[in-house]
Amino acid sequence: MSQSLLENLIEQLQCLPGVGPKTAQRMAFHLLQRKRQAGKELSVVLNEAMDNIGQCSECRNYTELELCGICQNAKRAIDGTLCIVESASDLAAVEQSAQFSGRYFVLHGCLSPIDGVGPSEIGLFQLEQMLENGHVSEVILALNPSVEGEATSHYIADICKSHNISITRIAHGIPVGGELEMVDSSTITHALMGRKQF
Amino acid sequence: MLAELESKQAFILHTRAFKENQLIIEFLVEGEGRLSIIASKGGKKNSARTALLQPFRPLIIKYKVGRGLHSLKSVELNPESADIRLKSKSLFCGFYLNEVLCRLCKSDAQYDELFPLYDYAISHLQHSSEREIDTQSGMYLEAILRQFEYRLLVMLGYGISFDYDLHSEADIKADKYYELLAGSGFVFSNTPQRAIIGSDLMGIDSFLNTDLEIEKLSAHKLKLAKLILRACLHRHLGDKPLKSRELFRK
Repeated sequence: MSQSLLENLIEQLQCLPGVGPKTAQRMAFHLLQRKRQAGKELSVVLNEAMDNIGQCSECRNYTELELCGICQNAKRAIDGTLCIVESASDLAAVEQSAQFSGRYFVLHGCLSPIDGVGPSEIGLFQLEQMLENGHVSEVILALNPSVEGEATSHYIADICKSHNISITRIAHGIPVGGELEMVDSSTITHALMGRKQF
Repeated sequence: MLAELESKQAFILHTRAFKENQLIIEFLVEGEGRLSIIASKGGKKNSARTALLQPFRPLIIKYKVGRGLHSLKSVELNPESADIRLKSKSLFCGFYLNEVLCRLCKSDAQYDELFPLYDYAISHLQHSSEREIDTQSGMYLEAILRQFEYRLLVMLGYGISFDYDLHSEADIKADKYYELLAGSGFVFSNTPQRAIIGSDLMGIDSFLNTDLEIEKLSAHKLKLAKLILRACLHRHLGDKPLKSRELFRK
């Protein structure tokens, strides 16, 4: 027997992260009972977004334009800093801190050979070309402190060294509001190694 | 009542997300081999656990044996082993070891000798990381990889002999030329252009079988060992290339 439209809707909603069958069913009923108009608008926007949002040709952030808003802003290129992040959500987190006024490069992943992710899959050849052609004076690594993040950092550091570009990495340490006794030994090691004059 | 679970030494080879809050972890477990074990993610609230569930760290784990996947009950850092923090090229070599191992060794098959073999290679990679030996010539790292590849092939029953001609069973002669039959060994060759001279083959297996003594390594023999072992590995890995080789920039 063919699947009903409702069953299909519930199944498709499960493609979202954190949404299982029960939540998907709740979402579907909610849209049908109370938010039909909002549901229609959502479907239109979703359709447009999936068709039109691509990656910025410079930084690989998501945008429907050739260049994203940050890359179009000439002021952000003045100091020549380039912050490398793993995902678009990491970029949003750094932007929210309002502490960085340079440009970004989004990898959309980290080096993980067993998963089939090598330098070309995360745009490192594009990054190398950018460093060759662009006016980058400092690369800031803002990658997650995992083994894959570490490998990616070393690979990028090699590229920077071969082009004589200064490279720095954001500090690893104790989060604000965290408790020292609950922090793992690697983070404490990093925090001690990266201590600063007070 | 459940029997008490045994503590075993282990290394993580690879982790992948499973459902929302779980991971399927490929462990290399002492006395067992490669095992797929399901574990809950450490998450933001348990960063100490997340930090432990990373490749290359020497761990002690307890797990419950299941029909397909096993489930992880506890994990801690091995107090008797120095913590491993690979850097730069050593880290890329570590990824290479893990990829070769995952491609060649089946999950849940019994490989008793695999853990000490991997432990030996990883601790030497750590040694190289600490002293930055690789910055000199890269020979030390190359030697670790070649020993691992050769010993892994021997352990899996794919070893080749460097001592005798496969067809005539006569000893390899220093002034004769030999051709490699990947996966089998060497045979006498009449075409020196495409063959290897016997004197170059001599001593390669003793180097591959004995512990590292960097000052005794010859760059030429190391390069030859690389070509031979690459051909042997290719035979068992198939046409899909090893992705980790892309990490080594030329």
